Amino acid sequence: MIVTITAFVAIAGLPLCGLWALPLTGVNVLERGRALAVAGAAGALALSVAMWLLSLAGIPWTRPLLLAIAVALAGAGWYAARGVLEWPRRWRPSWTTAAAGLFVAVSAYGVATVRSSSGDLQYFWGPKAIRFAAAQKVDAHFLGDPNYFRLHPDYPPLIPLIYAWSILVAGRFAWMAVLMITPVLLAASVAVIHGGSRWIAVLSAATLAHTFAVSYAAGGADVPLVFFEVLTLGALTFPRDSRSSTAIAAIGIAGAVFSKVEGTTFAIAVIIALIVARRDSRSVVSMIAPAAVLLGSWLLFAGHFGLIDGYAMAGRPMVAENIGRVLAAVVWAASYEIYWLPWIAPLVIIAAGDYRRAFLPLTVSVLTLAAIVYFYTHADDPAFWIASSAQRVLLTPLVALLVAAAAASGEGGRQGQAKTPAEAPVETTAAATR
Amino acid sequence: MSGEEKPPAQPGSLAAPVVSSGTALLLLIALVVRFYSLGGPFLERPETIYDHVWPTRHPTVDAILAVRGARPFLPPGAEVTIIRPSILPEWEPTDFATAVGLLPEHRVVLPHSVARNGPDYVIAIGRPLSARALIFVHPRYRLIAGFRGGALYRKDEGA
Repeated sequence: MIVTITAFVAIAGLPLCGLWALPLTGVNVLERGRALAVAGAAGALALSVAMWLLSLAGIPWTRPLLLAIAVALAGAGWYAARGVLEWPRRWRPSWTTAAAGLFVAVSAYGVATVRSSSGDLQYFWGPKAIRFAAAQKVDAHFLGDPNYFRLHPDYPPLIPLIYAWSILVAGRFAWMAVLMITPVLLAASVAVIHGGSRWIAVLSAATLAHTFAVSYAAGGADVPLVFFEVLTLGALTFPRDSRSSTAIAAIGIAGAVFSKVEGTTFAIAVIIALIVARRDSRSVVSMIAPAAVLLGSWLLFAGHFGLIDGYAMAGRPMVAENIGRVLAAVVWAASYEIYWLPWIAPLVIIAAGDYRRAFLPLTVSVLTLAAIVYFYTHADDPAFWIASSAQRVLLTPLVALLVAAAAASGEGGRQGQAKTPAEAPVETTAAATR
Repeated sequence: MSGEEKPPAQPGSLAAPVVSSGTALLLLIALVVRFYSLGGPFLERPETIYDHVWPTRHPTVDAILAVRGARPFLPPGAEVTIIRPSILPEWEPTDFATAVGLLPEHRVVLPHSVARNGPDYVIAIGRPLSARALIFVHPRYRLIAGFRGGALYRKDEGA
């Protein structure tokens, strides 16, 4: 039990390693839940990048070294953020917060009683983390072993890096601890959407709690991916100032591409949406640069050791005759065993609201949905692939739709929301750092 | 009345609360029904992370129990594979992946290697100590331990 608690605290405490992001991004102008979510993403990213760099430099991960890095990150972040950290004097929960909290609690129950455990956790994320921790590095020898080709050697390393961190802190892999991060990330994602609309935060909590359970997402990479995606889209859709939206989106996109192959598809969709929305090209480059560096370094590493597999999917020929079967199977998977309600509800809200505000997340939703169908049509027999993964990969267009509903609902208007990203209000530096 | 002017109603201002609360209620019911339908016990600490993912027993539960049972008998660095006698000569990739994760100090090799030179050890998955789990007949291997979830076989030195 003590190992499980220690491992859980090691991961759930990562916002401490991301305090540095608060003054950098101007997130101090955001509500506290969302600022905590940004710190969590920044902390996970900073620690995983540090572990990745150590591995590339040939420096073995040890508990004292990683703890020293974590403490240094937390200390430096605390010092940098001391002017912007402000603890709440009194917490006054609203009905909507309580309702969202109820869904997080129900989800936590389902995860704790192992009713939504991801197969990917047992079959490759967990084994990779355990092997990496044992080798004290990202073990190219293990990933390149022909015996282990089914463990997807080229999948990006953020998830096994964070899990390996928990192993090195706690002493061994605590399966329940990594499962229990799912409700934490659910709460963080909902906190971000709360910045756009309280009611859509409730809808999102309900939708994600249900879809995480139905798609068996707990413990896999899809829940962190959804969190990074929500963070990105929230920053671009509910902006307080352009500086914070660029910095938060950069963290979110980097986290997404370093978590899962599908994170790259999401990043490309965001870039296209930003270009269509005529966003300032300099801010687009700033947003995408950290992700490009991380992904580039990973692909170079994977290419050097002959590990490329999943990223080569797009190069395979399309099986045109499968399009009908793929569409039917994807549409069926998208029902989430409740008659497509998770899609219908946000679409109704968008239709009834100001859909122009929802332009960017709606575009991302459509593009990522199209990409999912496109990739499935590259398999000779896509039936098993769709059955085993579609409900999880469909979470990306679904959360984009939820962010779009939050934007369209009109609640965000009183929070400085712009009609399109290009029209985002720009606060002064003084206002942004107050 | 305070005399303050009310802000104009935003488009769809009622849609978000009504649709969100109605949908949330339906999803709550669906979620509770789903968790209930996956079966009890509802408050006990699970033995593996797949105890309740299906209403019936998930095959990976047996794989986890078999590997856990075999682990104390395996010396560090030993070459080992995992099979499910009930599906031989086929093998289940998820069983293999489970062994890879749970045996970090060992070299886990693909099951078809049993038919060739063969690894030092073979973990056979089956119902707890059932006769079927213990029946893995191969001239090179002999049973060294049976436990919940399966049995462990070692390559005979003289073979």
